Amino acid sequence: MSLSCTDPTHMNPAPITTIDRLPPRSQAVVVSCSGPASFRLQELGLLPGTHIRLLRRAPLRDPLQIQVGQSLLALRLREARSVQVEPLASDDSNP
Amino acid sequence: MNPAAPPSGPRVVALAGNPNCGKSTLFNALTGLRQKVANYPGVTVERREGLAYDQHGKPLRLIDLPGAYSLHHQSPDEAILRDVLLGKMSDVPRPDIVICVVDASNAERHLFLASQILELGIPAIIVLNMMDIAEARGIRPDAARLSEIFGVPVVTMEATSRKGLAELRIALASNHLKPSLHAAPLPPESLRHLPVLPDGSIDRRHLYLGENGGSPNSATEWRDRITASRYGAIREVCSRAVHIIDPARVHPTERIDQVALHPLLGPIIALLVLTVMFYLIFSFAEIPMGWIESLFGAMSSLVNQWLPEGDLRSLVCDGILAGVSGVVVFLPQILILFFFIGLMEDTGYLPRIAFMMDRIMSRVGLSGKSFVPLLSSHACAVPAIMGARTIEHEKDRLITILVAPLASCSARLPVYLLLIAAMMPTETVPPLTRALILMGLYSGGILGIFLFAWIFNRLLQRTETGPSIMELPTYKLPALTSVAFQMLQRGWLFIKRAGTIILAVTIVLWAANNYPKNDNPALQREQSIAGRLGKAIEPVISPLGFDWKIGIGVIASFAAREVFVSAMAITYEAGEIEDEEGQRMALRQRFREARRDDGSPAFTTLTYVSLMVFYVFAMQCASTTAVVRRETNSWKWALFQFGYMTATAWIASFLVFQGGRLFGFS
Repeated sequence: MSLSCTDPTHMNPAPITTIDRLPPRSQAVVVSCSGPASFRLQELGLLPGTHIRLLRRAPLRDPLQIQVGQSLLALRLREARSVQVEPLASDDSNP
Repeated sequence: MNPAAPPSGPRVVALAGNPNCGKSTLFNALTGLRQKVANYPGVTVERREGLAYDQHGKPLRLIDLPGAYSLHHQSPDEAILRDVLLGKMSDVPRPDIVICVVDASNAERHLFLASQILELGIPAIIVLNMMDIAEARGIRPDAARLSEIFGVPVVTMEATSRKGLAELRIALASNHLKPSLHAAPLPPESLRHLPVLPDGSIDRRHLYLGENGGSPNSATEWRDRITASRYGAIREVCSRAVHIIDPARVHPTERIDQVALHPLLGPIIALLVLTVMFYLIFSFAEIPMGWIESLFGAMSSLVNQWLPEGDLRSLVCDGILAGVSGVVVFLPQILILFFFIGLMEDTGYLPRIAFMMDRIMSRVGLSGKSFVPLLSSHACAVPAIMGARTIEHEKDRLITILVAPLASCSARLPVYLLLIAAMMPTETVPPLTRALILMGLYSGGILGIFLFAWIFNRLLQRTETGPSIMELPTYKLPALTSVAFQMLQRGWLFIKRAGTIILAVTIVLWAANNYPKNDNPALQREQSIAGRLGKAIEPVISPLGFDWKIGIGVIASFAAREVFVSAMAITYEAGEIEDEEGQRMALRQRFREARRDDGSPAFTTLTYVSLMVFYVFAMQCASTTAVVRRETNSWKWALFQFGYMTATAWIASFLVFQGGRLFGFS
């Protein structure tokens, strides 16, 4: 895919970013949720400290599909932008 | 609180759980066909109730509550769940027992709602559903341990294959069901305002009593902290009672999604699936529709033999039988469509289509969930509008319902085909041209859908939009019996709700065509109420190029569009031709020969085009209006829809006809 403009390097202290800026198939840890959807996002498991994985973007780039625990969720860019995450070193170990 | 149900009445058992937990499959397995579907008062949320029996054969009144993620409700469906469980719903008793259905393969998230419900003080049972899927994914919940922790029975189950049903019935037969004693820790500040029960515990029902699902005096930060501490408690429970063999394992659904949601392959597959579905709707439905028509034809000729000629025979044949067949003939399409929607919903594919279409639909303020109802509206708006129940947000659902009848449904097809055939002789015009016109008419409808969805979204801006977070459930094999149940249920609902109105309207139209009686049969048509109405509205429709005879057809079409063909056949005395194709052949000849009172041809090319445009936009379907009235629970929206569509149709036809004349067409 073509959008690795914010590729996190391992050397820097992991920069805080938002879900919409994660590269596809990467993992991250939730730092905080804000905005009108934050309450529902937390009820769905997006609590600070939770591991998430960005699976893919829809064919038209929006919404995004993420995995939280065993749940697969679709977030529109608006909601994805409201979740601050800390990217994890990209170890897409699973095929 | 409601007074307790009379001791003799069956105990009330509520099924509660997240969306996609298999609740409805379980409900169907427990009740069989002993169920009824209605709406909750004042909202468009489906209310399902049924009669079930426990293992001792004692009857239970089972309520299938709408799926929800939390008691802090964010949609009308979730509000219903809260209201019923708190005993705040006026005509639903507070349940005596609540069954919390939990997806065993996603226990952590499903236990979030379950743990909220368990704290309400209602005797409860936890059902760990979809054990087979959990097992396949290496997730092993320990039912005994969970039962120990929550202090309520935990039953493992595969509702799809009815495994665990007997165990659940045994659990339901117990007279010793108790409320759970488990309570997630709450932040101390939040406890201060909650009332204390006689036994010294905190009354947690008050957490959910406020507006918008919040507790009456809870600040937002508490809600965040309550959620965090509840999840903390659940994660602790899961670490003890749910064994995950390989937590880092990739979701098996992910393998299918890599193809099904592939940027290129995904849309192609969706297109194929939907094409097959529509092909089957159109081609399969033809067969039973033909049976229904010939059955009613046969009944009609029987009546013709037995009854003497006169009003009664006419009423039975042209009024009642025509009306009933007009209702029943919809059924094959409705059933097939619901079967496919049910199948796609049950397998988990429907939300994937919504995921892929979300961006396009969001341009006009809708979500991907509106896509399938709007697409199916091209077969028939009635099931499409009923299918809009899968859309959670009230605003999105309302807009979808309002614009759905703009899709060129199959009832418009006979009208289009007749008009195209009459306008262009088959001998001289290549089929491609006629196909292009047909496509143009369909595109007009689609354009209308997007335009009006956009306008209504602007107009309804004040209405709150909830977060557009959608769950993409795990793929699974469909529970065919459950899908079939739902299909039959919706079909029956249609007959019950719309059927009566369609029948009544057909009889009224029959009377309008046959009364007052005229001794001269040639003048009957013109002198009848319908004829007079046609003449009366002539000033309104003549700017569109229609004379009063077309007016009769247009008026008759307000019952159902395809009535235009038969109304025109009667008006132009095209004769009693059984075969639809033959009728069209005869009719188009009559159309070409038809003259206005001044001797000019009644049908010019411009008249045909104007008439077709009118049929693209006009709201001419009593069944749809009846269903919209039912689904929105108000005549307001049904009449608004009728008004805006018919006004659009008039304006569009006016522009076409008058514009055409300005440019010298005739």
